Amino acid sequence: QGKFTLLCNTKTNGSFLVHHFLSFYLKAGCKVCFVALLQSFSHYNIIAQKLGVSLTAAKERGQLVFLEGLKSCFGVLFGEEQPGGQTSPFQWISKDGSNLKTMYEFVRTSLMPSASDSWKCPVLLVDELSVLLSLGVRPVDVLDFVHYCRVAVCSQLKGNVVVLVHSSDDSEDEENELVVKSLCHQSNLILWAEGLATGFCKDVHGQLKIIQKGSPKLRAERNLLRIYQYKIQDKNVTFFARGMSAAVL
Amino acid sequence: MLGELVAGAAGGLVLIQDTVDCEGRSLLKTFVAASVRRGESVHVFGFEIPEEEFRAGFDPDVAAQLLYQDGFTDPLCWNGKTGGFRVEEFSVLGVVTRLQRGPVGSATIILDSLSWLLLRRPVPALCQTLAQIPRAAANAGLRVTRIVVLLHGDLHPLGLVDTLHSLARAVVWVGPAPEGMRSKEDAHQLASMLQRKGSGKVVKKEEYFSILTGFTLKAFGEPTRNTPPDEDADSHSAVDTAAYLTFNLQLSDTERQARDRVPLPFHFSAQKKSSLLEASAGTGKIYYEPDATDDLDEEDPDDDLDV
Repeated sequence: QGKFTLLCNTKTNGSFLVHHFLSFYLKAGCKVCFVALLQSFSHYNIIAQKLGVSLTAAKERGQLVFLEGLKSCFGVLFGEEQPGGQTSPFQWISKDGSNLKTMYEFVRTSLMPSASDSWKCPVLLVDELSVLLSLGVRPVDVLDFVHYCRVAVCSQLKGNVVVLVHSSDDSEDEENELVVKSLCHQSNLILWAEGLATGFCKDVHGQLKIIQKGSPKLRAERNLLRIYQYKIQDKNVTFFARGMSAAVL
Repeated sequence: MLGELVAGAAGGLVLIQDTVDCEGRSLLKTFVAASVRRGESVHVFGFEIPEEEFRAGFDPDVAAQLLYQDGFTDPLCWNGKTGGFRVEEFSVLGVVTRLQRGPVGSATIILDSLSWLLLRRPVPALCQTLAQIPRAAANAGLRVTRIVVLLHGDLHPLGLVDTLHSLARAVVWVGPAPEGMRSKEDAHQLASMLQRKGSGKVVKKEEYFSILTGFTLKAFGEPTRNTPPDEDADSHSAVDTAAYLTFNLQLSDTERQARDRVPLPFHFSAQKKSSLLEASAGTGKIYYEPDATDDLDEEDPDDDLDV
């Protein structure tokens, strides 16, 4: 409850974590607001069906609020009228140097509990934040958006926020690294998916570092660090200790 | 030295610098707890975490005395709520106005965190604000003894961090203690400190520490220097290995003396010189019969034979 989880991927594709969290929270009965900036709705739907969840059904019963970035950006940039005269969450894309307040308000209104809702804690899922930087948003505005989402979802509604960012060790993209490091400071749990240092392998797709920060009462406890390697299969992901892949043993 | 800093040895600006690997907020809270226990009024300007999370872990009497300015809930006025602390309010006037709501007497200002403000306010204005707060507060009848701020060192360029260091009276870098220390003595973190005293002297020190429940500090002393013990260990092991061989490499005393007496091959002693000179006289005469075609000239054409 009230936790901020950061998913980070370096040299590999960490989107399997996003699919996992999406289906996990939907199966748990939570109300989910998914800000999908990277792929289309059908992409997520197909993978969610393999994991046992139907996104269309979840949308129809109001459990899932899906913000499809690819379609909505298109609409704003090419001047289509919004239904009912509302401002689109992507209004900022046509203006230079504006903040993400409209997107934050969309998130807040969609996760605000209404009288007819019987869902458990609200969850915000963002895939992925680095795309916003590529679209020209300043890093401070991205951090402000995440800050306000934490205020609304984590501390006021006692929900969870899960955000995916992309990072690389020797990145020259200072803005991206600034966002990633700031979010590392703020998060309670960091799941860092990295490619193997030795290169691509058929049987081991990568390494997952799990960093759990201590509780706020005594934050000086050591951060709990666990490292697993994983292999992505069609319907699930197998985790094993480093060097213990079935292909090697 | 860390204990003294927490107990209030340094006035002015105290900077606690942490990184992603090791957080410094618990050390900041230790300063807060110590300050409250000394009877000072503590004004906390919090931007990064909610108020409940900041107050968590303190003893109830300590938590009750904190004067919290909430800069987390709505610092940019997106929700339109009043009552919190907005980011524009962080100026000399805004801060002193908030300070005046508290009791008179000595006050400590806690800033969580300075990095949050540095990303959203112009840096020179922020540095000037920090420098001018004590004077402005004194004009308003308050006494600000110290300003303790948390800085995330890895979020800012090095030049900016160095500038902030030059503004501060004391800087504490917080990092994780090496693995050996952590398991052996339960010291979780390492603090590297720099303090500029009033006399102009600069003191640098490193100490291991850990933070106990209720945010009290436990200092463990300085890390030991490791290099001299390594050299001693090497020489000892060299002597030890010679004792376990199957053949004899050691010298008895008579053998050692005999060895010392042997002259080195190219050592030119008087004995050697005389033996060489004796050998050249007497033995080995050369008899040469010149041929008919030989042109034997006894003179020295180059004039360099020193005969």
